[in-house]
Amino acid sequence: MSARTHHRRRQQGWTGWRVLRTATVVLGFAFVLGPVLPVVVQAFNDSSVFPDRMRGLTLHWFTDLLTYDEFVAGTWTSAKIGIGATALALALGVSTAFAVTRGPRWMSGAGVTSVLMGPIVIPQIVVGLAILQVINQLQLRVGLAGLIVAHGVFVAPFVIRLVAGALETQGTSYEATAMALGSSPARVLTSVTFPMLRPALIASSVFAFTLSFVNVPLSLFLAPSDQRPLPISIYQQMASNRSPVLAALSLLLAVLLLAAAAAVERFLRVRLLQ
Amino acid sequence: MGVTPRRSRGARASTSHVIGGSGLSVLPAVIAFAVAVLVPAAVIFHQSLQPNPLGDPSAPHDTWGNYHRLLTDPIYRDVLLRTLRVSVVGGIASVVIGLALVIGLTAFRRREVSSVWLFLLVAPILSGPVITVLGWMGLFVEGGIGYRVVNALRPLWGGTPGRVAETEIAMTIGTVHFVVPFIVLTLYPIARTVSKDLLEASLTLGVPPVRTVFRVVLPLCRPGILAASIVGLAMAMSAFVNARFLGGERNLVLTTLVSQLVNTFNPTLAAASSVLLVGLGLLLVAVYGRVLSRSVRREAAR
Repeated sequence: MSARTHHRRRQQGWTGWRVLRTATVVLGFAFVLGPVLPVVVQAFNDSSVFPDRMRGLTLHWFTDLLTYDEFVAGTWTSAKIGIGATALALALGVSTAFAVTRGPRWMSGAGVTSVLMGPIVIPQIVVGLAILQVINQLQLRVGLAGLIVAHGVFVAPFVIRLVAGALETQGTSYEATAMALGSSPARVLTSVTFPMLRPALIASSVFAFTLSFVNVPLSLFLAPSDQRPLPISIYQQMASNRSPVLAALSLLLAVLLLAAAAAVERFLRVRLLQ
Repeated sequence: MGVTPRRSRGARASTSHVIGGSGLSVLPAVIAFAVAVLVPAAVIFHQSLQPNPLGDPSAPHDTWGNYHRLLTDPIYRDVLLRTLRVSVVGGIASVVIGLALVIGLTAFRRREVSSVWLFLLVAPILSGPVITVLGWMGLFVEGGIGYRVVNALRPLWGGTPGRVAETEIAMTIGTVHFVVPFIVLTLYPIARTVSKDLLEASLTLGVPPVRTVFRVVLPLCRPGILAASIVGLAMAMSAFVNARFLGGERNLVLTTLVSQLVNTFNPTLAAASSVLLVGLGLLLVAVYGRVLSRSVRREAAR
């Protein structure tokens, strides 16, 4: 084979790969992001039917949002649950991350890890129902506590992942130095370990809060009828009365949550997803 | 998703002086897991063995009656089969799409993928299921883009063109869309560690890029594909909002059946369906995991 044919064959191969790669990536992104399009269109569409063909531009679906008491109240309820769940998930996730990265070897094994990661793959609607049954059987009056516990346990695996990754990277040498210089373990934690973990802690807080804030299946059965989280109010509206207000609300929500996540990633130089 | 320790044996010797070295700090999570998952699981299993409160109170009590009904009544058997179809087809399709995306973004690239792309791919996780389900509803409405694409493709698997909204196809597509971002999250960290030198070697030996992807990149991603498949199957099976609104009330799967049974005041049958859902998930994951891990081992032995 002459050098020239060899060269040409390589060139042809690259064209094929580029075409295949571009097609895959374009189609893949279109699939993942495509469903946002109708929501954007309908949120500004001057038609009271969802979905409908374009009948003119309007902003009144957004201004209408404030007149829905359940959406305003739901936002506060979801924020309360989100803050509680984030605190719980951080407590559980950070302590577990210490154990799996620094504890006895068997704790970093596949067994413990897969149990702790279990909540990711257990159907959330089942867990919501099961926790509800426990609450009913014990005749507890828990308010939002049931929701906070459920959300906290279910977002903790994401915190474990992020914090364990950071602990691996930062190692123990700085702590060892501080201890050798006479700092107490508590002092080492507050002035060495946690400050170094800060980016991971902030990223996991944002991630945990967001996942809790948008959750439907865990909340569906656990939501007290007088304190419905926002996604549950939207869910119930979707089942009974589909209106462009829902498009406006979910668009606004998605923009705010994604902007928060993007800001954290950008300004704190945290790689939220690695 | 495992957390691999990178410490050497030498570091391990000083374990007692390391903060968290005792591993006792795993306890809060263990307790929380027991309180929020294990105890409720036991309670719901117990409840699934109770007689239906709406049933005939004079009938003799059959402990496994709820399960018997779910497995033999044609209505519930349909739900069960649909759950299997949607989660297996949806799970596999999600892994294929996620894998293609991750490889398309990383293969032959020496530079890191821009975080903007990754962020866009996992954005549906952060925005929640509601907005995307609303979007799919808009796409699947008669004359919408999704409607046209599905009907153009339907003859491929012998389907007849027609309604798309509130069908099993719509539900499967919605489920795949829900799962793909999680697959990307699982596969990306593995795909980016595929050695660029190996790819370079393959190219230098004259193997065209596309074949290099299939012969070098894919085999190196095998363990990640195993993990992603399990995540994909389990998530496809537990998808709820998609199934509820894209499949509608006539195309129930186990998750939507549970919610319907709770709403129609049939808690014991709802409990039995929940147990069945979790059991089916564990079974599928075990079977699938075994099949795939065997093929991974065979690959490694070669």
